[in-house]
Amino acid sequence: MTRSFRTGEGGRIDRSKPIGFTFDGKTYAGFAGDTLASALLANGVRLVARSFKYHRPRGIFSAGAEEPNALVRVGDGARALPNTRATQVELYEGLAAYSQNNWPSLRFDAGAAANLFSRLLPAGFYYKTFMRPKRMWQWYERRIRRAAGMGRAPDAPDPDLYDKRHAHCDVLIVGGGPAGLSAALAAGQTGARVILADEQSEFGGTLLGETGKLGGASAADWAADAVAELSAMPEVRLLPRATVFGYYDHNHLGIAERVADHLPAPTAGTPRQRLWKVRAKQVVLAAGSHERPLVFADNDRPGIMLAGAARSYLNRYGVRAGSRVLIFTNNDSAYPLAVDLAAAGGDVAAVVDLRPAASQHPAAWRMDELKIEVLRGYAVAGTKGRLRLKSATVMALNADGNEVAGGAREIACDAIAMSGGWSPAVHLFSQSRGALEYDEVLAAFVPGRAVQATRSAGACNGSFDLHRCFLEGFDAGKAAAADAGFTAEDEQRPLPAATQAKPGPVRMINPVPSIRPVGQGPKHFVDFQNDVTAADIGLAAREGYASVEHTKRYTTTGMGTDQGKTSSLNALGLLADQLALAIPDVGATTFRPPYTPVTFGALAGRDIGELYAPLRRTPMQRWHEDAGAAFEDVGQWKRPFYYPRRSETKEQAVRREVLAVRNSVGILDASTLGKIDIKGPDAAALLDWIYTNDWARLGVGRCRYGVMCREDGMVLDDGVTARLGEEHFLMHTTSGNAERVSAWLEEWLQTEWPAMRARCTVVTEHYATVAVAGPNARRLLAALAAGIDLGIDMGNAAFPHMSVREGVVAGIPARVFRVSYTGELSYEINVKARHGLTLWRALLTAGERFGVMPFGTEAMHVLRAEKGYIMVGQETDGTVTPLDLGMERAISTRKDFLGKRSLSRADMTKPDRKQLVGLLTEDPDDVLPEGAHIVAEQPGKPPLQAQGHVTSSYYSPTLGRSIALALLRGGRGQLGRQVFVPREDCGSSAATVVDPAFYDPKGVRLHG
Amino acid sequence: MADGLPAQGALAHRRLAACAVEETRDAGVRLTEMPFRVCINMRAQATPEVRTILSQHAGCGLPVQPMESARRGTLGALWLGPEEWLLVSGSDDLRDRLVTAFRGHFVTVTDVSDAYCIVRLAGPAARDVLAKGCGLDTHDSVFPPGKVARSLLAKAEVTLHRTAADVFEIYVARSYADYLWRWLEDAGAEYGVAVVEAA
Repeated sequence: MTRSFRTGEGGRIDRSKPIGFTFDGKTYAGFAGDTLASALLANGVRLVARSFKYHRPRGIFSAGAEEPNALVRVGDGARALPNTRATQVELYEGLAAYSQNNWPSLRFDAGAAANLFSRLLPAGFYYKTFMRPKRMWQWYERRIRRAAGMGRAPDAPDPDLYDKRHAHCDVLIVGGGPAGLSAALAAGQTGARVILADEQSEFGGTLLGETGKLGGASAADWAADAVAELSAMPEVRLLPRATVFGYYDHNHLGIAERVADHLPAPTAGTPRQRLWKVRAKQVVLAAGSHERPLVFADNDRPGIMLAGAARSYLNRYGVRAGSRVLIFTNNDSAYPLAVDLAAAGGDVAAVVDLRPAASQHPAAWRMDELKIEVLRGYAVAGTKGRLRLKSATVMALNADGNEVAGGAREIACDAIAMSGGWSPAVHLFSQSRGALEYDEVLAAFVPGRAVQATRSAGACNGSFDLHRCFLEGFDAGKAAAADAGFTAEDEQRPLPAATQAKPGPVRMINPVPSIRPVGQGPKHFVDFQNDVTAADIGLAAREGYASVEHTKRYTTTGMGTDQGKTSSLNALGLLADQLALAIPDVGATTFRPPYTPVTFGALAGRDIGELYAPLRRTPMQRWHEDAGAAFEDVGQWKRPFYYPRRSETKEQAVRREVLAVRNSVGILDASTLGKIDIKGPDAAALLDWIYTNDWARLGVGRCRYGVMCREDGMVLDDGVTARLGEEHFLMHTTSGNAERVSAWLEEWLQTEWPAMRARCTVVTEHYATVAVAGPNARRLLAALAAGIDLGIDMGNAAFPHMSVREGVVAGIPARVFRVSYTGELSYEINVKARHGLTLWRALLTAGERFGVMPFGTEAMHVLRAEKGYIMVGQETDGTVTPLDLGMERAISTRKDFLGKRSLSRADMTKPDRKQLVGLLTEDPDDVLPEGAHIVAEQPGKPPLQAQGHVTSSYYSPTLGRSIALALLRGGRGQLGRQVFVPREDCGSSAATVVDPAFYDPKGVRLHG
Repeated sequence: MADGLPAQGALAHRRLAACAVEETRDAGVRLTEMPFRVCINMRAQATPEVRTILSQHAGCGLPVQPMESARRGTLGALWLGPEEWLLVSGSDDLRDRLVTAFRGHFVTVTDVSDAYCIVRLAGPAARDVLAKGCGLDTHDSVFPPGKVARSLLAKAEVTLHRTAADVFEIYVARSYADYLWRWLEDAGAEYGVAVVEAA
């Protein structure tokens, strides 16, 4: 088909700028200012898609966001964007678009066989058909998903940039048509911060498709003047190509801006799309309305479209919907199309009006003059044409309008422009939880009581008359600004005079009668995107679906990306008729965000790849990286896991590091350890409440290990706290837990103990911490330390285990703690973070003669497990008490503390609670998997009674065998007993229950 | 440095000096690491006595209104929360002077200088860059120069201090500095980023 449907002149396209594009590989030409849809129509392309379920041939249906049919893939390869509405795609040179949901081609689609068997595919057919056998559902589902379809997502990473940003404003105006522009002018002149967002490339909305004059100027010129005026206001932000897709709590709205989708590729450095997260003090919704289709027999053939869309294509894009257009309506709004078509030299086959009475619309008065036949009280009872419309059967209706009265007339036409009335676009209002009210005159839902600070104006408020759109918009913008605290000193009302027209009556006949009953023969489509027919809704009602919410889910009407933009009211009308209820008594379903689909790219923005999550770095991180360390995720830290040398495996590296600590000395970057500085006269009292053990009598310069519990008695955290002064402590928490523990302390101090004179400051990151561990730790430190008596000559008393000293290490002011998590003689050195790397390097240099080795977290885990030391988060999981861990000695009986009462509950003292034990496997090389379950007997067939689980498990280089820590029911009473650990691959492992301290249980080495 | 020891700022590994430029006319934003500023966390009840002592010994008032800051010479006081401030200064002995001055009062001062990395974000697009990662409204009517707020910038907790019309100082935990710097460079790319050395 090569004939052009382009008019000779007119429209807002630039005829001096032709643009080449392809559809399904075939080359076409359009003009700058075209959408893909208008350009396809201009080229006579009618068939653009196959429907969702029945694979019926479909054409362009609308001219905007409500398009249910013309969903295409735009672009190739990684840039491809599936399921894009052709009506919203701006044409650019080289644009390549493709039809979807067909095989092998759009014209010959094998899936269309579904249409032949459609009687076997009623609403809910898969619930009925694919029930048995139950386990087969997943197999069925894959096939159903393939047959029923949408486009396919590209499988290569998107090369383009997507971005997100926040914005704040006093007034957000949704929609830049007559009402929205008026609202923006009113709000803008008060000095309020205004954001005006419109989904189209150009502001003006319906004004861009109007032929009438406004105060001497064309409607589009008035819009352009308004935009120019708004652009000059410093606090007004204009967002074209921006769809407000979601309205959330507290006037938080989401906007998807298509920054560069109208270009072949985004300009370097700028995003393709940008997501706006807007907080608006006030919102004005001026989102317009959607025309409804008429539900008549075979109302979905390519060439059948909405009348308003046909008029928009004609006036805005200079494209005739067909060479001979039949207009079919139940209201006045389609008559101006007949006038405009005639003026453009088009052929109007007839106007078929369901209403028997003559329309009082000024355009209707001109039908005789234009020699356009008007058939009042008539209906389109059927259509013909497989891949494009060829003719319509028109019949008179009986007086009630519920049956055709014979006298069928075949009218040749290649387009039907239909109007079933207009539904205000209440989607965002409904998302904002506003109540909808049914308007009998308009036969539509209009906004009722608002819940949030929002106003509706113009067509989305049920005001279809242009004059009222201007006034309502202006008043809404002014009132919104006033509520946000802004008024204009010298108000200007630059509103044009528009003729006022009273909307005529709408005659709802739904479905439109045909020769055969609904459900037999031709289909009466209600929801075009989801292929839901009038018969489906009738069936749902007959099967007992009385609730509109159930009917929606059962038939899928109003679901999916379309959210019922054109179908919602017709579906409700059909259901109401079936249930013999009025539409408001059936109720409307909620409209859900997004209004139109939002790309994953825009939602993800730049939170991808290296910016997906923060990566916390210690002051020595660069050294670890340069040393080729393998890293482990600990919270948001990347901690050195181990430092492999050349061809070492993980096991070899860990073994080397563990043995270095046991035999000589190793150093560990422990900067991630949480540190909280606690000061005040009541600091010791605070610790007494927080920890389970006693703190008041801890001497200055001494350290103590403590466990803290939640109110329920479960272990929250543990660590060593040092007394730096009479009223000054430094608490250590586990890595990544400092913020949580700090919040815990603050909560108690602020809400329960406000009189307690103690204050806490997190100082984790102020210090770099290096642990020096091993029998040579003291000698290594002695080589670098000044001003600290390490007790080289005098023995332990000078600087005993669990004490702290201040001095200088490697020339750096330092605080040195003698504490140990490895069971060896060990020091932790704190210096200011800026000196961390210097200290680390100095220790490595000075330690060369001892063969000092940096060791990672895995070696640390092995070393502490050999000693039976617990690790919070590994041996504890929020259900473990200090008693379960065998820490009775750390639980004070002399004082109260958080969680103490819980620990005395009967359940906490039961002898069969899970308790910490060690496990030694029968086979010394058998390393149990962490998390494995423990059973009492040699396992037979399941079910087995789990007695506990393995919490930590390693191969111990020190002991030359595997070790494991476990929580075992009544574990401490079972020392010496044999238990079994069922293995996925090889039966089970036998193990002996032992004390968790595998190595140096008396702690001799600590005191070096 | 005052103590003459080699010291690494949080962004030392990025070798920013090598990327620094003099000419910034085309840059929408200028990024500067402000290393080794003295930061003191102070917690106290802002009694008239405490405020007098502070202004006598540090020369700076204590802002008592939420989100306010005070500045006198090189010393700044940033309101962080009820009874909590961040005192920032160029002088190393600030902590010791305060400890002495507040002896006998229940006022805690804690050196947290190295816990932070301070990044100065300046330029005509500074607010746009912040808007990409921070939900705060930085409009002049809400957040004029002098305001302080703690918030999230991208996925890092920050203290945001607007020091001039188009200058923001961002206090971020040292370990997050690398992430935030990379994020800022990425967010600013659209407007042009110039790395500038601290004066």
